[in-house]
Amino acid sequence: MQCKFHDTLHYSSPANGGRGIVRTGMLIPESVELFVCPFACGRHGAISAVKQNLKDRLSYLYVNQADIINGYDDLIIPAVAELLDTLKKRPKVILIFVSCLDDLIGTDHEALREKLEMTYPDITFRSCHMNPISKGTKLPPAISIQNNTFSLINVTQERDFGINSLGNLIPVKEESELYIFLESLGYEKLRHISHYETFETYQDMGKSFANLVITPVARQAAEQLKQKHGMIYSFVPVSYRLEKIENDYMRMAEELKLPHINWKGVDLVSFKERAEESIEEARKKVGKTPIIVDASATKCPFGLARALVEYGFYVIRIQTPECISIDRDDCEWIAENYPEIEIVESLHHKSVLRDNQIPESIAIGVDGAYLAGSKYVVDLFDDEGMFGYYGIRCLMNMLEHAKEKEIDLEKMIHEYGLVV
Amino acid sequence: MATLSVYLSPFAPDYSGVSSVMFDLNTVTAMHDASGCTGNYTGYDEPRWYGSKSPIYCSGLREIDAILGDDEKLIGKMLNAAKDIKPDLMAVVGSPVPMVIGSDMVGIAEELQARSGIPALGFDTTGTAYYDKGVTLATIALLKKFTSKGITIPSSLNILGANPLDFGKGGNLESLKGIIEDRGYEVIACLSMGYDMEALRMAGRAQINLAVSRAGYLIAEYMYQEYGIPYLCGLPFGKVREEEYMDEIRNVMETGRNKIWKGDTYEESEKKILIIGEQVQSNSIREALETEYGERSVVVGCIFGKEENLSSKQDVLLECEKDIIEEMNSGNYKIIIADPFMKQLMKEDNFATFAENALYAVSSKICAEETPLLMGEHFNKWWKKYKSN
Repeated sequence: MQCKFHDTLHYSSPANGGRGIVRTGMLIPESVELFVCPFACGRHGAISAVKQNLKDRLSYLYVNQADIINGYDDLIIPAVAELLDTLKKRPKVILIFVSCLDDLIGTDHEALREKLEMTYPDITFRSCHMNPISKGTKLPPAISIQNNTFSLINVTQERDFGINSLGNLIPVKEESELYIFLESLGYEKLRHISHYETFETYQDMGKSFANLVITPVARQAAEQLKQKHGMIYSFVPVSYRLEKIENDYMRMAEELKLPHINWKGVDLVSFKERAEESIEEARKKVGKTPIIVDASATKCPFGLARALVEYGFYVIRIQTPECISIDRDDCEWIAENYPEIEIVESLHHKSVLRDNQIPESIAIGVDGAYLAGSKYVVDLFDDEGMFGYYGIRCLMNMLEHAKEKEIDLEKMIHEYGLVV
Repeated sequence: MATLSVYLSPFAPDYSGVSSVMFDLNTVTAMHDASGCTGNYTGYDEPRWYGSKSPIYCSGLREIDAILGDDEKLIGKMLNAAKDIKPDLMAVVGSPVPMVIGSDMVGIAEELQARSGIPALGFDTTGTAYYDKGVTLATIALLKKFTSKGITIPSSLNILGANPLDFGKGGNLESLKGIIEDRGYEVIACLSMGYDMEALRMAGRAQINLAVSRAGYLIAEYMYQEYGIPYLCGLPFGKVREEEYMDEIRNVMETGRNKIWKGDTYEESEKKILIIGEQVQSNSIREALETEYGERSVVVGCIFGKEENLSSKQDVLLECEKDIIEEMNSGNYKIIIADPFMKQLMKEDNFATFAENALYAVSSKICAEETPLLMGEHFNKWWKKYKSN
């Protein structure tokens, strides 16, 4: 085994994709999105938005070949006027999205934004990019939408002892010990964008003293908030390894230290013990059932696989399109210590053949389940809601019960409403 | 001209049409895009994708490749995949970025064929045209490459223009095949859904063609010009129409004359029926309403473009969402037959009955369960729900 991925034609399995930037942008309270692109570019996002009941905030300005040749900047202002006439409620924010081709035609987005804000001074505009062609650069769409989202927070002189969590689509589960930990550091609340129903109250995030970044896509946004607002931040990706979680809490205590608090520590032992118990229970139940760890479930599949083999589970396969930098050490650790674990490159052209089925396996993640034909699936997507010891307990609970019922995978994938 | 769409989702594009044609064959097909265009097709335009092993891929186009016009990277990936997949055919399919940078998809295909010895096709699709254009382009390209005239097989026929964007998973097509085969006819090729390379090669030997969609009509026209195969354009919706369809097949076989079913009868009346959708299906619904229920004022609203030869004088081209809203709410209609997504376009004071006819090219998998079976007497059962209103 080696941590090397091939640049092939990409296979797109039915379980490939994520929640999408449409849905991420929709977290902004009182916002609407206007996509300016050939109609084709909008189809997946729109159908997915219908599925998520978000379509009423998503509109399109379809441009044709002549519009592209002539430049479509001038068409956007009248289109916004028409859109505003149609909407039942006037938005506070309009995200103007363009697609891949815009990267090649040089639209002046800053000038466009200025014009729009002069025309509609009560509305804030952002130019956003749905441009997967920029993957591999420093500003792919998953990152730029985070930057745009948090750039909408205005600078305020008011400062409290709140902390924002950035990058995660849904908040960390309230049962997580993270809340107790942050409280021990002196933080009074963990803010998340989904808590706000109005654009005005969303500005409360500007009062926070610090940011907690638990997915890599929001690191740039955190850095920008540091520059603009002076907010400190800590980048702590979700982990399922006990040792790492303990170290992460120590690091967070250092990085997120409040000046007026002399932190004496916090007792998380009981949380750790309960996580250990859950591991033991799951291990007894799962036994030697082969486990597939898939990148649709977690940002760091190698890290999760390492945790599982350290706990005594039988990991047979890791499936992922790539190895991201924060997962590289664990990738190398797996390569050195468990070279027998199969690495499946989910995008590789040979993946279409699905010629190595493991139906009796438990797959953590739907994409892994699809390629392996797993009967049993742990319904975890993108680490959503997970963090710390409680995250381990949730995962172990799902693993423990995974074999109780065969899953209707097609239905599960359909309900996810994924977007590539 | 740019158009605003506030309520509806975008319809299926040309590159999805091409890919759907390639789906059944042993190909290496690549959409030349970053990921989203392929995601449209695999996620929302191809109901057969789940569980399939069809080697239709994304090229993984990146900014630097586009800026440098690096076609070699695509060619290399195609050739590598071909080593593992061992295809009968390769295809490269355009998308908006190749359109902007002027990639020569046909030229890339020629290069692929020259280097590999494997037949290859290139399609300059752009994402600015609808799926039916892609279905037409791809099917005709395949016919040109693999199909010759040959000796006609008596009582045989092809089904043309079959594709998942018009027929979903194909319930209506299976029903059509059943009706035809029960009457002793042989279906040589169902292009381009539920077929293989052998069927494609044999397609030139059919006695007649059945065009079942607008794309099917355009392909039938090509085959008529190229192979001299006459066609019947339409679908047997309704119990009576099923019998008439069989008579028409015999007639086309005997006379060699083409026949298009489009429902020519029209009487101006205060309250009409509006059918919004694909032209050939809509025409066939109109025919059924006329024959089976005596409706004489039926208008087809063409949302994927209007083929004049398939149109009656009262039919309307609905080019954008605004056109659809205006037509639906014109006050002229007692019944509107359209995709469930369009129901939201009816204003509060519009009391027309809304009859749901899900179109995969519009609402994709969201409404797929509501796709009605319309062949033969299934149509009568479906219409029973609405005719009393």
